[in-house]
Amino acid sequence: MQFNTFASSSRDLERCAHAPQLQEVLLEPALLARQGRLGEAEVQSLALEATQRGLRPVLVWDIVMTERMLSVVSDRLQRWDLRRFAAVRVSDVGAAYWLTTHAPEMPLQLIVETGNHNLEALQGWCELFGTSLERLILSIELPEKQLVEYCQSLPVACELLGVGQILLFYSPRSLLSAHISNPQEEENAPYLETTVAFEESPQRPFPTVETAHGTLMFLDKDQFILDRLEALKAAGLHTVRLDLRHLGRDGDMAIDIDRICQQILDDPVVLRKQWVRETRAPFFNANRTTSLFNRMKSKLDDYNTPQRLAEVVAAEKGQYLVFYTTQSFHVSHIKSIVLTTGEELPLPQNLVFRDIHNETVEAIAPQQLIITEWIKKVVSGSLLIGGSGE
Amino acid sequence: MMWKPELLAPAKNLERLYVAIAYGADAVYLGGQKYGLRARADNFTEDDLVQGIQFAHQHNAKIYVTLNAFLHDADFEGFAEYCQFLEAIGVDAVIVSDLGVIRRIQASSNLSIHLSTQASCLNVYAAQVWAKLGVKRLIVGRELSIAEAGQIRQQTGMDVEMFTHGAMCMAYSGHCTISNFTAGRDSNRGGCIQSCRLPYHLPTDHAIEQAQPTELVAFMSSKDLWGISQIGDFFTHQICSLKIEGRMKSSFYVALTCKVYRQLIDAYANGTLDAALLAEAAAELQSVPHRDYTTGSLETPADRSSVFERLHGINTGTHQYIGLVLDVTSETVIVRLLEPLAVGDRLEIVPFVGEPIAWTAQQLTSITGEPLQSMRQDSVVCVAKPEGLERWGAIAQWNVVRLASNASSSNTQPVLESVAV
Repeated sequence: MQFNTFASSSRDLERCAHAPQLQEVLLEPALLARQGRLGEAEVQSLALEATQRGLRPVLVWDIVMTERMLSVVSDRLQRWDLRRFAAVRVSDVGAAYWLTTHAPEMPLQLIVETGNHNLEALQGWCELFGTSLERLILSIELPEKQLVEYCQSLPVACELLGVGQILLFYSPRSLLSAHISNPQEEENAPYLETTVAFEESPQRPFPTVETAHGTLMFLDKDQFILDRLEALKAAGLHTVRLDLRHLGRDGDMAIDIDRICQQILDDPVVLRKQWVRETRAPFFNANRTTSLFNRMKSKLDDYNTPQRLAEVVAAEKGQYLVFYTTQSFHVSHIKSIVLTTGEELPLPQNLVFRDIHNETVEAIAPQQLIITEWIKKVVSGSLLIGGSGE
Repeated sequence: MMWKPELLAPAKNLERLYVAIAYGADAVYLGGQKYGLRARADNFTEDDLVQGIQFAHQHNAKIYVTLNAFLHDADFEGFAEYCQFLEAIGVDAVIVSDLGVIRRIQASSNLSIHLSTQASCLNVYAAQVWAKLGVKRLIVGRELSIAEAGQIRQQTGMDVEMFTHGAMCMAYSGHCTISNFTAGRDSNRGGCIQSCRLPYHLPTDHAIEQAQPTELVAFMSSKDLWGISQIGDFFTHQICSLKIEGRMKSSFYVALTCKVYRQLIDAYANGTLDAALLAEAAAELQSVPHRDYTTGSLETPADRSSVFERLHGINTGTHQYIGLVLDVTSETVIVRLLEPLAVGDRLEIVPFVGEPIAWTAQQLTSITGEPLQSMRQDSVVCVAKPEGLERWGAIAQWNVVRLASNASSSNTQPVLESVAV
């Protein structure tokens, strides 16, 4: 298992070269990376220096691109010397395909953190990109058990965020500049940083950044699983990403990376306790969406349409009920009335069904209004239910 | 016959499906009770699907079923059988955003696959990838202009569908997990709580000037999309389907949006689309609840003007939706009420085609014939035909009923500043 991290300066590279088990540096050009601030010359220079220091330089191309943007990027990127990079990591599958077309020998690292939460999808990408695919960067939304399974099952190397900011939101729009001045006036590469908080929880500030590629919001707590790597390591996790960008200063991104890597090996529990930002639970818990909404769902969903003869559309207390029929039926097929609470009521004996012309009906057509005497408890939305097998 | 793009409408339940098709939708997209993004929508049971598809096909309309959640392994339980069921009942296509879902569909059925906007397919190279994977139609991201979408169609030969109306995600579709980490609800498996629409504390320049640490702003909320001024562009670039957002919206919304876009599409095809018609369309779209309107990125990338900056803004319109026509006789129209109605109210019935039919309610009766001065919501009322009313014959089941001129609305937007035909 190896580490990688983001680098933006020679000082970063020097520290990385001395960091145990750190073998790869991620370089973010302003042209290609969501948070990139490096110019072309800078990123090329850093890539060369990284190689000279025995580090593997990886070009980060993680923006999502419209056709117009990809055309611009393509024109410029074709003039770059991509041979200086050991691999390119991409988020947009269009970028991945561009690379297989324009730089077929370039190892591809595919970021599958969004929309790829099952083994079937991951295997699909492996099959599609074949030998070009060097690595998959997995989602931290996956439970530990799934991550272990994927590391064991997938035919390519897997990477996971070990420590760093958790991205919540990525928009192509410039959402901060309408409210905050750009202190650096870097018109070529705007970069605004601030925090935002929900109205009802101002004590939870979410770091938010605007770049030339849009606006990104991060959770107020960091991902930290460095003290929980044993199972993943045993399963074959190839790379743990150490994202220190939000802790950078003075143009450096990988501050203290050498000490951090050493401490991961020596005592990651202490590292967690000493981490400068609050950290969240190590792995994503089972999602509660379904269980929550189960309680909110209508109690009538369990009744299939063949049983739903009609719906109550009006219930005037002490006077009448109005049903709107959904299918044809005979009154002898009626079994009961089910209330919106789920309670089932037997049909009163001798209940008479009439149409809007006050004619008694027994054979009832669909999409018809039927009127009966009022029945206690029945309200609008209740269902007339038929019996099965009659 | 001149080629026309398909008008594609959302349906929360069977009622909305009927309304959408009656008001001119060529196709309807809807979700079953699993595998989709709108867990809070009523969604269709299997038998609802059977019934809905039967109705749609009888009216020459298509049905697309959404399977566009990002599924985890455990979510695939019963998926193959469900796909086979969908194929057996005649679903015209499924809408998918997850490669794993695509592969499972292909392994178990011959369903036609449309790629959801959730997959954020935004460029030719990405489109080529999805074509290799068996996708037949691309629902491109809202970040694309019509011209860019047309370029994708031209260079790949794939059918391209675009959202033309409704709410927009502020994030790239699928690239938001605010609900996941702050509310425990997976925003990409049906649990989105629309966190982007909330106001946020932000240390703005204005706050600093006022010596305050932060200011409450709605910086992350998008206006609603409308593409009524771009109908010609959709034709020019042969966008195969114009999609209306809103699987959780009312029959009123479905009716008005379908009617407007049906009218505009047909008018453009007939060569009769003009500024006056566009102005009428704009006015009608103001009547339904919305969050101001913007053309988004349909022409140029969305900018600040696309942000809905009202604090605590809610969807409002110029009219109030009060009910749905259930039946019509020679003397009365029978309305299912969602809001109260009283004698003296100025009501409008929106026919499938043509101008709204308006009159002041003078006689109300219960369905059993008792005279009424008013009727409460969640009930049924009979409204008498006024003497001399023209076009009574245009009123039909599934027509929506609204009250004219909601004076309390403060969210009216000026009708189109410029009109391009």
